[in-house]
Amino acid sequence: MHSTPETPKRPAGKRDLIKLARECDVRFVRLVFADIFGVSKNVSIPVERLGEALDGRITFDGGSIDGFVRGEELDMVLRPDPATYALYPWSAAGGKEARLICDIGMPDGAPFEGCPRTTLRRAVESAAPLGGVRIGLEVEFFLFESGGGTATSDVGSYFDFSANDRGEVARNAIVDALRAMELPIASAHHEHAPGQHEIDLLACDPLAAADHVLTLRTIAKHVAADFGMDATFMPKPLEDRAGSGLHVELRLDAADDESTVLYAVGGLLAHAPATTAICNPTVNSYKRLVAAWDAPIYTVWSERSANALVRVPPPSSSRRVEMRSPDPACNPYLALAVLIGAAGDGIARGTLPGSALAGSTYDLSERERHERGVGMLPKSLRQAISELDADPVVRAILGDHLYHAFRDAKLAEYERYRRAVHQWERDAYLRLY
Amino acid sequence: MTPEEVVRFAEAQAQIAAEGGGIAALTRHAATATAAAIVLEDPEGRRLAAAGEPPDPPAAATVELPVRAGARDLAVVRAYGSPHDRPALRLLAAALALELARNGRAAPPSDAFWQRLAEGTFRDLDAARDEAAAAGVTLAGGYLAIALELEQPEPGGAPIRRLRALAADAFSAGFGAFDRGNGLAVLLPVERSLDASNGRTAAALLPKAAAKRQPPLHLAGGIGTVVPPSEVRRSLEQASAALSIGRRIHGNGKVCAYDELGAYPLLYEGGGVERLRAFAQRTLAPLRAYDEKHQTELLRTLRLYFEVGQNVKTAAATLYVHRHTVFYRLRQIAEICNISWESPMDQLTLRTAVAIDALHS
Repeated sequence: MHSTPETPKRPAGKRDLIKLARECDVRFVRLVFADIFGVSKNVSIPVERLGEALDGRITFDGGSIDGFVRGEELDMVLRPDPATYALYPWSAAGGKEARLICDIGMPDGAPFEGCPRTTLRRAVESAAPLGGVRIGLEVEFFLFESGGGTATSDVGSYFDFSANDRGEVARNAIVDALRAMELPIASAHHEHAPGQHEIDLLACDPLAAADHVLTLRTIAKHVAADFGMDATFMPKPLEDRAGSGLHVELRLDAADDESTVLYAVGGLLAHAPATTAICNPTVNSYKRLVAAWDAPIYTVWSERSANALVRVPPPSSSRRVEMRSPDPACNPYLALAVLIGAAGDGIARGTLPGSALAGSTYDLSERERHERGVGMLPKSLRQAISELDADPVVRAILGDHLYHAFRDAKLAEYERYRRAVHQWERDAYLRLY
Repeated sequence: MTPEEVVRFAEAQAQIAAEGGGIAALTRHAATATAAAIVLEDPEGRRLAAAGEPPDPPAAATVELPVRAGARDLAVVRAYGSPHDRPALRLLAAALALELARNGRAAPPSDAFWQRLAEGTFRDLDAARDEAAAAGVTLAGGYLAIALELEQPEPGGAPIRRLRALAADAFSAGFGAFDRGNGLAVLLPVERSLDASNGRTAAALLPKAAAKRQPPLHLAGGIGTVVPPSEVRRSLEQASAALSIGRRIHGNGKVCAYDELGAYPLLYEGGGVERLRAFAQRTLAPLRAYDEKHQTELLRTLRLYFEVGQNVKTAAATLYVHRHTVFYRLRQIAEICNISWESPMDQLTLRTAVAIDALHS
């Protein structure tokens, strides 16, 4: 079982950080970074090399990370962000283990243009009209019994408080571990489907928010394993149940007036077809984006509708804009970068979002959608990539390297999926033909 | 004028333009420098600026120069005085062209067309279409009229031109506009409801955008309803009424939509029994439809709530329900009718509709 260490104080200076690591009996430090898919990778170093790491002298072979390098650019540098120092809630070789989240740099000192964390930094800097946007997150996931299947320990539903639910015990342990790592937990609860849970994070700066998603996914998997369970952030593991989303709340606290919020919504809607490729990056993502379980399918906004793509909870003076399409399989750095960039573009261009919809978006007829100028979200990863190809704004936010690396990888993924013969096809056709 | 005097004239004109003096100041300066009377007119013959003493009745000008932006005629400068000052007048025409083009369609050739459309002077829709084509305009399926008015009457055309520039920034391309008193009438083409909703939003945001300009503009406005091209006049009348009502209710600095003012247009414009009945029917229709579909008593609850002086406890007792049920129904009513119980205007609208319904249904 994991243990809960005391909350570490994060020092700003290198010397203080090394001292703190020694005081906390840290044996190993994991230098964590995200690949272009948002999968958490790490290089573990003995604590004695922490000084070297903080000086940016730890290199790794970028050629072994998907989408990172092209031929000659093999050696890459890890640049730890001291603000991300945290102790893992488990032991290592009789001591403790810490982590630092890193940006990726080139050996010549330049930032690596394919680094998702750097891309998010750049997007936040470019989106000055948003004026210090903060991000709140709702992360949904499933806890299944270990073994690779989809059996759950409960039959719970939305907000259920059931006895004998091992999933709930595991979720509480996950939350406990995340709190120990200083994640700003707002709340946690059971979700629609059996075995489905949600953890909500309080609003913070975008970089920290993306770091938190990376941490949450890692910790949830580790802690769930302690309980004999598998935590999965796959968007739609069960065909006939709700999928898992990653609702992103943009808090535009510094917005001048209501018009800024409207323009941000306009930008999010206008670029939604293209941002979908980034926010819903797997073939499985599109099985969640169907007209059921309040998943968004149309580019429409609302104050109250639970299945609108963008929700602006009243009153509008609260300056909160919730994007409901992303799923937890996304690369959080890239997803936040394109969403912040899209909202910033809407503000810069004064993009209006049309009228807010009252009621369910699923009830919209084709004629109503045409009248309101409501589009559809892509229905497949292939379609989403085509939309990304056609949107120069979103492509510019990603930068050439990331756009091409992501696009090539996802087209290959889609092609593998397209060629695969699925069980559904065997069930439907094997005996029929 | 000597070459040195012409250079000094050009420098002075540039200085006036740089300080934002506008076409009136440029024309005044030129009239003083050349000791001529100068008149600036748009292609439809409307006077944009004048200085000195033009002959009355009008006579042939000594010098007549076009004011052009590319191939487009923006205006004509007519000077009455010495023909020897032609170089200075050519400089004036160039400065005026720059000023008119920069301020955005000061007098586009289609202005007269939009004004005629709004006045409803076309024989029929075909005649309107023909004239639209001649003015380089393609008629849309519908129009939404917006009346904008500067809060302070300001002399000269510069503020109105700035208002035009503001409108050009706010609304999608293809809108029509013409000067109207101390303001501007804007006609937005509407092909889909999206065009109307974005047009309303853009119009509602105009006062704040105007106040941020340097120097600030202060304006109020009204928005009509979407109408076919043959009924643009009605939409503009509604917009004007909304502007007047909005000013009386909210003060200045707001752009109000006619169909969001509830009972106020009825009280402002008056009307016969038919109009009263139509208002009540329109306002209460969503509640009637909901009651019929869900077998609820929302309309009855609303009537009773007003009858007992908006006392929830008494209403609950009369209806034999718990007071929480009355609260719940009131929330349902607000959602279905898209009103807020905190808004006195919305309360008045429902109350008026219920009263008319009781009297005339």
